[in-house]
Amino acid sequence: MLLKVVILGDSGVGKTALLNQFVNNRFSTSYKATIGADFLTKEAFCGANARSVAIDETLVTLQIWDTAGQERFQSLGVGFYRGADVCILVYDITQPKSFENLDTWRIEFLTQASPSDTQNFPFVVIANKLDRENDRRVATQRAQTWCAKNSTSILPFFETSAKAATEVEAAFRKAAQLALSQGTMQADFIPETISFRGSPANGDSKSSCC
Amino acid sequence: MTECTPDAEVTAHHLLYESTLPPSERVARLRRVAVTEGLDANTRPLAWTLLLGCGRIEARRYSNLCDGLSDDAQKIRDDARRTFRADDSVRQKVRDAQIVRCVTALARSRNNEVSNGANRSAVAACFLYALPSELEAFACFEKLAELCPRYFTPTLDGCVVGAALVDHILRCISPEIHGTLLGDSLLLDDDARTPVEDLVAYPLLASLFTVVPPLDEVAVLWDATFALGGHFPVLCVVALILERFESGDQTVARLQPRRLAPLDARRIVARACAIAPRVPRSLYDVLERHARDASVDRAVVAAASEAPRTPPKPPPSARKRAS
Repeated sequence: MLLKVVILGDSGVGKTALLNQFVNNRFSTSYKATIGADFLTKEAFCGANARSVAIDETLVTLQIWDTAGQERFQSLGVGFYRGADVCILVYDITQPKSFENLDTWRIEFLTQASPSDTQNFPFVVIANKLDRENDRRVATQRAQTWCAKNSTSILPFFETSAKAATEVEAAFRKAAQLALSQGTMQADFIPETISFRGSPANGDSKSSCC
Repeated sequence: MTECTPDAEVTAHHLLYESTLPPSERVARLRRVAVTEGLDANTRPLAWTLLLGCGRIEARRYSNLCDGLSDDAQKIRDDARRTFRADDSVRQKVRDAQIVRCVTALARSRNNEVSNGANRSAVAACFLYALPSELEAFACFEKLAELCPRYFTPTLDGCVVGAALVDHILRCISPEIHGTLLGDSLLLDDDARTPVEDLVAYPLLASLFTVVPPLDEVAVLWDATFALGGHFPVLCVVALILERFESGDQTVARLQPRRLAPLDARRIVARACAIAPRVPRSLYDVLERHARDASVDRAVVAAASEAPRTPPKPPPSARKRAS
């Protein structure tokens, strides 16, 4: 099953770093700013139920779309967001502005992606750069309050460090799990995401993996 | 282009420093040499200022433009810090403060009506890398923003239209490759953007190729662009896609700029020149205007394209959603 994950957040919060840590287990201090957007795929076993044991898990291909934080939606096509199964919102714990902008990112995502149920569309919130705890300027409590008021159910919230690989896997697994539960309800919509000929699993040139 | 094989009389160096021809003739010939042979680190600084028409470069004006804050000073600093961090050859030559000054000066010279994206930092950095002084870098940067103003607007609308042109030109000249790249992706409606537009062409155009290293090769693409005009990068993107496709990168995922093999700029320029005459006239007309003319949007591009769009028929569920 193919699940589309979109990562949004201000420029420089660490979206590309999180994605690369999750997909390639790598971190670099020298990422260039993303221009436009870009995607990576990763296969993972996950279950729709948070407490599922391995036997309930299915193999999913996560197609994770990384976007340029500075371009907002002005120049990116709606194709980036449409058909998304889950959206990950990222801010930087050392940059309050990036936290304050989560509202805008969430609203604009819902506007552009226009999911069938905006109230219950799954989001995961990531507070990144935990390795810079000494420079923290956004309290955990403040973010948790935001997560509680922005959805009918509390948005899952993770404090991560893409640099130290802290909680990155957990955050993406949660996103995948939410996407899967969403995906099982809306399986008919999956073809609307961009898909490529051939199985991503076989690793040949037709694969959508790189 | 074969008639342009250079002898001593038509090298860039000769045209710039030795030729006794009238200046206009020298610049005309320089244009041709910049495309067919490319320039080098020695001839590029003067050649670029001539090709872009920089004229007199005033240090005081630049100093005044730098001396102040742009509306988004913090953002400019953040972008500069994240430009070419991994590329040691660039980092050794270009300092963040220079990028900040160039971008600030451009923003102020254009009344802050300039893109606030990473693209402007990357483009400024390439000028600073290729040219000996910050002043020349800014003069060329400012002229480039005049050559393709729509590539530097806040919404980068020229890049969006340019990306659509890439898609249509590729469809016209190589429907098979275009079809393969489109795969079985389903377009919801006729004006939906394709993966080639969004994931391949757009980042290349918005960054004017600086997203694909090395900058020495990017500079060769710019030699031809400054000689021919703001439409040329679109043809270069088409050429790049064809080159990489033939080398085995046959999916959009493999053609994403961050994963592309290093540029071979001379091959791309030659290929782009060969593609130009194959572009239908109506589409070429739009291509020539798109970097400057705000009336050219994606609908105009689609109308000019002689090949009508025939997206695969969406399945019932997708049609339902689209409605």
